[in-house]
Amino acid sequence: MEHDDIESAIDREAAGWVIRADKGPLSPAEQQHLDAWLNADVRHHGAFIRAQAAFDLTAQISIESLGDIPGLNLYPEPHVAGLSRRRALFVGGAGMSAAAALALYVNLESRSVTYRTVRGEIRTLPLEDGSSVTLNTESEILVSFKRTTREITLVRGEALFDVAKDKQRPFTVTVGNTVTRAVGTSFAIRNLENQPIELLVREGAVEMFRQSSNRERPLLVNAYSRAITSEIPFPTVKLVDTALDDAAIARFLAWRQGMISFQGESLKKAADEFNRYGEVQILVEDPQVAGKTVTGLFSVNNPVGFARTVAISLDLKIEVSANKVMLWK
Amino acid sequence: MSNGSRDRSLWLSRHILPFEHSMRVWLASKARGGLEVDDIIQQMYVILASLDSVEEIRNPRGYALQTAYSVIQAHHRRSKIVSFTQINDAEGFGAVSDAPSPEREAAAREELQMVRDIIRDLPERHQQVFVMRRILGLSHKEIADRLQISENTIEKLLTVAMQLITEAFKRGGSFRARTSMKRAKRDLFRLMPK
Repeated sequence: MEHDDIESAIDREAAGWVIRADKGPLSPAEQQHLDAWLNADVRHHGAFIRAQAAFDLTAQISIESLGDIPGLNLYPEPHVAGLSRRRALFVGGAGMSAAAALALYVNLESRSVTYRTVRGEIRTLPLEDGSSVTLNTESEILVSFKRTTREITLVRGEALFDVAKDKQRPFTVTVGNTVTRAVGTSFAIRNLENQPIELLVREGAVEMFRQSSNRERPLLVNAYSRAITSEIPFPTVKLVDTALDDAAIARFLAWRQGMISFQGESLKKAADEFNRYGEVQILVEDPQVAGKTVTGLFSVNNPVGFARTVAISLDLKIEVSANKVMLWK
Repeated sequence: MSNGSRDRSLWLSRHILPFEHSMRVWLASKARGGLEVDDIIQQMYVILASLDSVEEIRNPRGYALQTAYSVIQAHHRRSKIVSFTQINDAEGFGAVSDAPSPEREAAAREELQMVRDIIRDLPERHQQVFVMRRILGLSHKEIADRLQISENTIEKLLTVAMQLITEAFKRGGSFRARTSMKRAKRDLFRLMPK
């Protein structure tokens, strides 16, 4: 046998023993057999330890965190006589009067509601399906729930969606010609002027695609990843981060607590971020100053405090007037 | 399995297993004279599993690398092969193994994502049975009832699933070569002495 074949045979044997030991206690004969196999070769022992470690790791995964897997059926229809649940519902529907059914249909098909926040406002809204959405400053969404779909349009701004699981009704968020689709998950989308659309996935997985591009497959964006739209050389979506940690996620979503977090962003970008929230505008005109970097956690409703801190740490001059803060060298 | 070895198994699964692919890439450039990477890795697992305590190990991955390296050295001593590159590399990793591990937090999350991806990639039937056993926690008998197949078949499906999973860890958590190469590069970059 070639080395790889031997290796594969050892791995299979090791996997078999791990599965067998997990099923229930080994009989004395089986235990003896296993011990003999383990002692026969150090490679057997190593493969067994390794397989056991991998096996133990799989138990750390919850069904929720695994996310939706197309084609995975964990609850196959039981093989018993009688009506399945789906058929029973269908019969109930047909039993209703035509008028009642029609009213219900129209109602379900036409419900669409707009929610918006004003500058500086941050608001969490429960949605009728059990999902919730948190809107950041100056944001607007259009919610349109139907029998088989849950459609949201992010008109502008930034929103975090905590989506209730419902396999029968995919949850889509449309921003311009960019669509994201989830089943049960948590993700944030940002749609600011002159910036790419940005998707951050906190839990589960989300598909993201451009409606204009029918030759591309949707991009699957997993938890702890970030993706943005890109126009060049053609409209598409691309991953920018795939291994964020909890601290990074918390930083991106600090706005939910009325905070802004910077980790080495340029002062220009930081000022723009602050300027989204309040009447007070921070102005940094010198490009050299604007390019300096900023790190720290700040309260969104205290732009002046932020500017003063920056002025001290970067040794800048500061002038504060009614609605304006100037920073310069 | 006793509680102690269960703890050790979890420690290995969290700290060493997700990192195995990058180790293999590195070891492949070191192993000579008839020593296979698989052999080194398996001996490394045996040594790590038999340590009295792992509590003092601040950088498990660095420690595992040194352990693997000691396996190679022992082999070279026996076969009387020594080269300069080996000595230089050993010094490099000496520095790494004592360093604290700033990306430990990230890694602790990442290995769960890795195992999720592996499960998501399993063939349909194996995936169904494996998720029922390991994630829903159904017994072999309950799965057999639910799927109307024999317990013997379930054991076989689980064994193949398990083999695919350990195989995927060798390749860095994916059945797809391209992703795993990217991951290997990234992990190696983290690992190299600054």
